[in-house]
Amino acid sequence: MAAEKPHMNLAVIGHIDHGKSTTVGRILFETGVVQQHILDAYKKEAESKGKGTFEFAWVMDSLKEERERGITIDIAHKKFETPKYSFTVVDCPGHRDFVKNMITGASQADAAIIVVSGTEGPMEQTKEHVFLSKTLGINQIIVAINKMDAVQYSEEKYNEAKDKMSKLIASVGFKPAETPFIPISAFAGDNIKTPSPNTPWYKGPVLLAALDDFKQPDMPTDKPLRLPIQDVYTISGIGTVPVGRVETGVMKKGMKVSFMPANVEGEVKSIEMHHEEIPQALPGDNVGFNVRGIAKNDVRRGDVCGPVENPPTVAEEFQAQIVVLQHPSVLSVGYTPVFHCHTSQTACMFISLDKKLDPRSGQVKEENPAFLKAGDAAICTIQPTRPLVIEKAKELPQLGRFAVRDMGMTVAAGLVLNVKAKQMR
Amino acid sequence: MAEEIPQAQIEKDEARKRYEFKKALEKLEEKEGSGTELISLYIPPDKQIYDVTAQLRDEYGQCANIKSKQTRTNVQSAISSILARLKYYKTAPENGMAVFCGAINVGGDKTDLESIIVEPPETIRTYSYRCSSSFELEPLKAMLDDKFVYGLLVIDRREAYWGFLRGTHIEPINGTNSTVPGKQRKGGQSSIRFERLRLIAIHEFYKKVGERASEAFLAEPNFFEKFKGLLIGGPMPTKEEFAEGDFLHHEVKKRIIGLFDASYTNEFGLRELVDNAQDALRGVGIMDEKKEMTRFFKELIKENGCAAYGEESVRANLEAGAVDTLLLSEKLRKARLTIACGNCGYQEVKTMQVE
Ligand SMILES: Nc1nc2c(ncn2[C@@H]2O[C@H](COP(=O)(O)OP(=O)(O)OP(=O)(O)O)[C@@H](O)[C@H]2O)c(=O)[nH]1
Ligand SMILES: [Mg+2]
Repeated sequence: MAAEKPHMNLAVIGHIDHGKSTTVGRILFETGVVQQHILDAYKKEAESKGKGTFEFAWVMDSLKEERERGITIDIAHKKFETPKYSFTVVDCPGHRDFVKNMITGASQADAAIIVVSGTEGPMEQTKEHVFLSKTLGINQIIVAINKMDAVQYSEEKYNEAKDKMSKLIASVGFKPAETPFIPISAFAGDNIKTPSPNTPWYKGPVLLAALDDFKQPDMPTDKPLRLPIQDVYTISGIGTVPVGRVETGVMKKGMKVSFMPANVEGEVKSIEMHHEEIPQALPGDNVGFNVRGIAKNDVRRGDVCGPVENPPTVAEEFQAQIVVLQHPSVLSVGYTPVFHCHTSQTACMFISLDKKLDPRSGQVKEENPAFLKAGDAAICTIQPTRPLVIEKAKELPQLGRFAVRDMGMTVAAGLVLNVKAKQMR
Repeated sequence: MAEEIPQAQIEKDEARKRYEFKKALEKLEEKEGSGTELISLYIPPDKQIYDVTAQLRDEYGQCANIKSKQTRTNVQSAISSILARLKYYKTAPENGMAVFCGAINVGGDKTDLESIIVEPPETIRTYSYRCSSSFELEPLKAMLDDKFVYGLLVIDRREAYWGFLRGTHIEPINGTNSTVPGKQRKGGQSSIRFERLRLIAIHEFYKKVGERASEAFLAEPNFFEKFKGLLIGGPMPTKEEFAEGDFLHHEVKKRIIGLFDASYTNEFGLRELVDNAQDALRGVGIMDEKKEMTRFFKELIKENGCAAYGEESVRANLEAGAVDTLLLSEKLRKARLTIACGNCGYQEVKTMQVE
C-alpha cells in the first residue's frame, strides 16, 4: 500500500439547482470512484421518471424523495483521491429549508467548492452559504462557475459571474486574488480533469488540479479532544454508535470519554472510519465509534465528546462578539433566535447588549446599546435556552464560532469571547 | 353626536383593560388577613342588590357566634363597609361585580380595612359569598384563560415537536426523534432492501408522532370547545405525507387548518411555524402583537422613524399628544409617585418599580 495521503474534508455548497450534486457526481466519475455502467443505469432510470439530466446528481441523491424531486435534502459523504490528497466530500443541499443540514456539512469541512450557475449568477443561498462557510471556519475555497455549456461557453458570462462572486466572497473576508474561479460544465465535463477546448480563453487550473493546490489544514492534535456528535445509531450486535468529526485532539481506543451536556461517561471500544476499524482518530477524521457504558438515548446530536479529565464546557451563559449580517428589524435584549454551533442547533437568548463596535476598527462606539441592526458589530451576553457546549474561540476556535438564524435566514455570526461554565458534576 | 369607534381601537382598549385587570388581580392575590376574615363576594348581573344586602345583614347577625373577638369585629366592620358601598348601586353592572373587603395585614401587628370593587371583563355567572384568610380569585382568573387554543406540530424525518398556541404564548409540549436511517448508514445493504427498511422506519416514526401528539392535544380540557385547529409545519415532503396519512387521531386530523413551511423541527420550529402561518392566524393575539412589534422595530431603525422607546422619551411624546399606539410589556410593574414636602412645598415626581 502506498504511503497515506493527507486527508481533507471538502464541502460543495451553493444555491439550489446550480449543480452541486452533479459536480460531485462528475468528480467521482472522473476520479474513478463511480463507473460508467452505474451512470448508464441511473440515466435509464432517471429518464423513465422524467428526470433525464440527473444521472450524475443521483450518485449523491440516493434517497427516494430526493430523486423524485430532483433536489438534495440530506448531506452525503463520499471519498475520492487526487494525486496529492484523499478527500471526503460532503454534498450539501441548496434548498432554503435545508440550510440546517448544509450547516452540519459545512461545519465539518476544511475547504469548499462554491458552485454557482453561469446562467443565473449568485443567488440568495449562494450568499448565505458563502457567509456561513466563512463563519464556520472554512478558509480555502474554489468558485466553480457551472453550466457553462448552457451559456455557450461565453467568456462574458463567465466574467459577469466572476465579478459578482468576487465582490460577494470579499465581503465576508475571502481573498478573490487567491481564489480560483473555474468555468465548468459538470454535466458535459468541461474543465474538470483536463482543460476544455470550449473555453480557450480560460488560462487557470482545472477543478481537480485546483483541489491539489489547497494547503494542508493544520492538525490541532495538541488540544484536548473535542468531537461534536452528528448522529447516533444503534446497530444490532454492536450497540450505540455516535458519529461525528474530530475537531481537535486525538481519540484513541480504550480512552475514557465524557459526553456533554448529556453528562455521561464511557470507554471507547472501537473506532471506525469508512467502514474500516482504526486505532485512533485525528482532527478531520469522520468516525463512528462504539462506547462501553452508554445507552441508546444517553447521547444525541449536538452533544460533544471529550476526555473525562477535560470535558467539553457547558455554558450557563457566554459573551460573544457578533456581526449582524441582515435583519428586517432590530435585535434587542430578549431576542431568542437559533444558534448553530458545531453540530448543535439551540435557541439562545440575548440577555444583554454590552458594547457596540465599529465594524472596521473594532473600537467601542457605544456602551449598552438599546438595539442592534444590520451591519452592526457588538459584544453581547447570551444565554442558551437548554444546555449547550460552547468554548472560548481563542482556545478552541472550532467550537467557539456560531451562526445565528431566524425567519429562514442567517441573521448574524459570532465568536465566543468568554464562557460562564455550568457546574456539571 | 355619536362617533364610530374603529375596530382596531376597540381591540387596543381590550388589551389595555386586560392588562389593568391582570395587574389588579396580582395585587389582590398578595393580600392576606390574619384569620378567616377576608370577604369575597361575587354578584352576577341579574342578582338583585337588595337580596345581597339582605343576606349580608343576616351574615352580620351570625357573626355574634365567632369566638375570637378580633375576628368578629373585623368581619363585622368588613360587612358594614360592603353594605355602605352597595348603597350606591341600584342594580349590578353589566358583567356583574366582585367585591373584596377585609382587614389586610400590613406588616407588624397592624391591619388595614380595605374594600375593592372589580368590574370584570366577562360576566360573573354564579353568586357566592366567602370568608377566608385570602381573597377568592379563581372565577376572575379563569377569565384570563384563553378561550381557544391551536395545536402546533413540526415534523421532518429526523425529529418532531408539538405544542400549543395559547393567545400570545407558544407552549412547547414534547418531541421525539426518529430512527430513520439517513444517507450515511447506507453501508453495504442493497439499495432496494435499504429503501424498504427506510420506508418502514418512516412509517413507524409517523405513527409514533401521530399517537403521542394526538394524545397531548386531546388531553386539553374541553378539547371539543377549545381546540380550534392544528397547524403542521416542516420541510417538504414530510409534512404533506404525514398530514395525508392516517397517523393523527381522527378528531385531531379533521381539525388540521393548514400546512406551512418550517425548516426547524425542534422547539424553535414551533415559532417558525407560527410565523409562517400568519395568514391562517389573523386575529389571534400573538399575530396582532407581532404586527405591532414589527411596525415598532421598523420605525426604530429608520433615520427619522416614528418610534420612541424608554420611559423618558415615551412620556415626552405622550405629553405632547404625539402617541398613536403605546406598547407596554405585560410584565411592566411600575408606579408614578409624587413626593411633596408639607413644610417647604418641595415636590418631586418619580417612577418606581413596584415589587
Ligand atoms: N446544462 C447544464 N445543466 C446542469 C449542469 N450541472 C447541473 N445541471 C442540471 O441542473 C439541475 C440541478 O442539478 P443538481 O446537481 O441536482 O443541483 P444541486 O445544486 O445539487 O441542487 P440541490 O441539491 O437541490 O440544491 C439538473 O437538471 C442538472 O442536470 C451543467 O453543467 N450544465
Ligand atoms: Mg444537490
